[in-house]
Amino acid sequence: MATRQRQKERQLVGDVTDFDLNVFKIVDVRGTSVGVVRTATGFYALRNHCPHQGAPLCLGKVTGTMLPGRPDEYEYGLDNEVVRCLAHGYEFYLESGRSVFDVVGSRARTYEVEIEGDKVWIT
Amino acid sequence: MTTGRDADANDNGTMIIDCDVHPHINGPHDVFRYLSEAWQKRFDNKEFKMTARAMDRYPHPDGNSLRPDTVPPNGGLPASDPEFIRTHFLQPYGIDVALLLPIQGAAVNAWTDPEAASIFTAALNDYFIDEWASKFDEYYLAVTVNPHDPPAAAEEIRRHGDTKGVGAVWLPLINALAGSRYYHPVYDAAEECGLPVVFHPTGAEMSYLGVPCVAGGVPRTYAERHALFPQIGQSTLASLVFEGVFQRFPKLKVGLVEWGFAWMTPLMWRMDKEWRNFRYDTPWLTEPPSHYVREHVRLTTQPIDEPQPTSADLWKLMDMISLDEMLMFSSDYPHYDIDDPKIVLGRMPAEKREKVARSNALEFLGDKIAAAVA
Repeated sequence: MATRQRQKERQLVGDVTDFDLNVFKIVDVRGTSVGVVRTATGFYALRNHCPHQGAPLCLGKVTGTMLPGRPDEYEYGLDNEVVRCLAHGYEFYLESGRSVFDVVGSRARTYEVEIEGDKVWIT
Repeated sequence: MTTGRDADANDNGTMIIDCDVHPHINGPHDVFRYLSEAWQKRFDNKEFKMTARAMDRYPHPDGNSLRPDTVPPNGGLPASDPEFIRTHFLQPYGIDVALLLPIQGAAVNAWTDPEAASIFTAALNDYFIDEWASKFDEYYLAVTVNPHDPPAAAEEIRRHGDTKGVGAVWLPLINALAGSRYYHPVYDAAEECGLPVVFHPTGAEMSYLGVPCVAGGVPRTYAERHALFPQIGQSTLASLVFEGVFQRFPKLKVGLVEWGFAWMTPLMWRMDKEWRNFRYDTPWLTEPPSHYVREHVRLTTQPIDEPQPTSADLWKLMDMISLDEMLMFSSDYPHYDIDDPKIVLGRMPAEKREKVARSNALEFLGDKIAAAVA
């Protein structure tokens, strides 16, 4: 029963080849705007809605960011593991939707992505 | 703009007045029809610049201070297409009045040529009246005036005193505090025409000699500079009050736009305390400073402070001085830090919301606009 329920809820969002590296594709999942992205480490899906003020989060950049460090030191890391909102610049991990370095308590909603053959499914 | 949500602004039936929208021209050629051939030649220069923020000094950390999804379909600058803003921002959010503050004109506070500044701001005013305010019911222009030449600024205000679609005057500041007698011709004309005067950053701050700067030195980064803008709002307010501008111009209304507002509570306390100590220092103030602020000054919401984990502390600060009577909604469209009207107003306690969304601004902008949207 659980399996049938799951199969009912998952949704095909395209072929693997439809996804350019590190570029969000915006899809409709049961009436909700969701961004799906392929990076070097896998596929990720987040609700296209910033938990801060509701801006379209997945129109922001897939990027890395500056790591915490000593004064005057800039070290870039997390390359292509982060989405930065195009509005106020809030950053969230693609994988977990959590705020990068816990700057804010809220998190972006994530969706499970499954690859079967060359098909990309969202649950 | 993509809102990222199913926007239907009228959840509570209140239409919104947005007191800070920045329309753009795509280049000086857009206003050439208002200029003599000689001024066209002067401005037709590849080094002509209409952005006052020095990019070598304060580059935006993400590379763009304009929100990418505000770019209109024709590819022009964000907020250069009045119809696109209507359909993608104003209408989805239920905004029926947008006060236009053309930042490219106000950036003349960084210029050194006062005649060029008068000519350019007048041309921009004509353009935004002809192409925006006279064609669309929602748009009201704050005519930009030249701070380098107050008599010319006054003349420009009087030229538009009865112009349909003009809702305010934007006086960009130079290195004279707002209460200085230097600006009296501007206030005289604005009062005579029944137009409120608004003060708003132009981008020049901390980038040029001769413009408002923050105390003590030059901030290092974009974020540090941005965090300190309230200083200029505070200096502007205190100067207007203590100089006695509101005694000289008793019908003058002033709007402090984008300087923050949470600082108002302790500043009102402190100004009143100084007045109690030293009333005889400014004997023209027959009432405490907070009295004049309440009578004459309004502030705007964006960029709203966001104390964590909730905004409850902000509402407490407001309640301490009944700031909800003085606050007006603003979005700052199309800048990166647009405040979403539904989020900002939705967080606000219900008894404050209508005043901030609408009625305070209607009163501020005056009978002409109130009658138009009634």
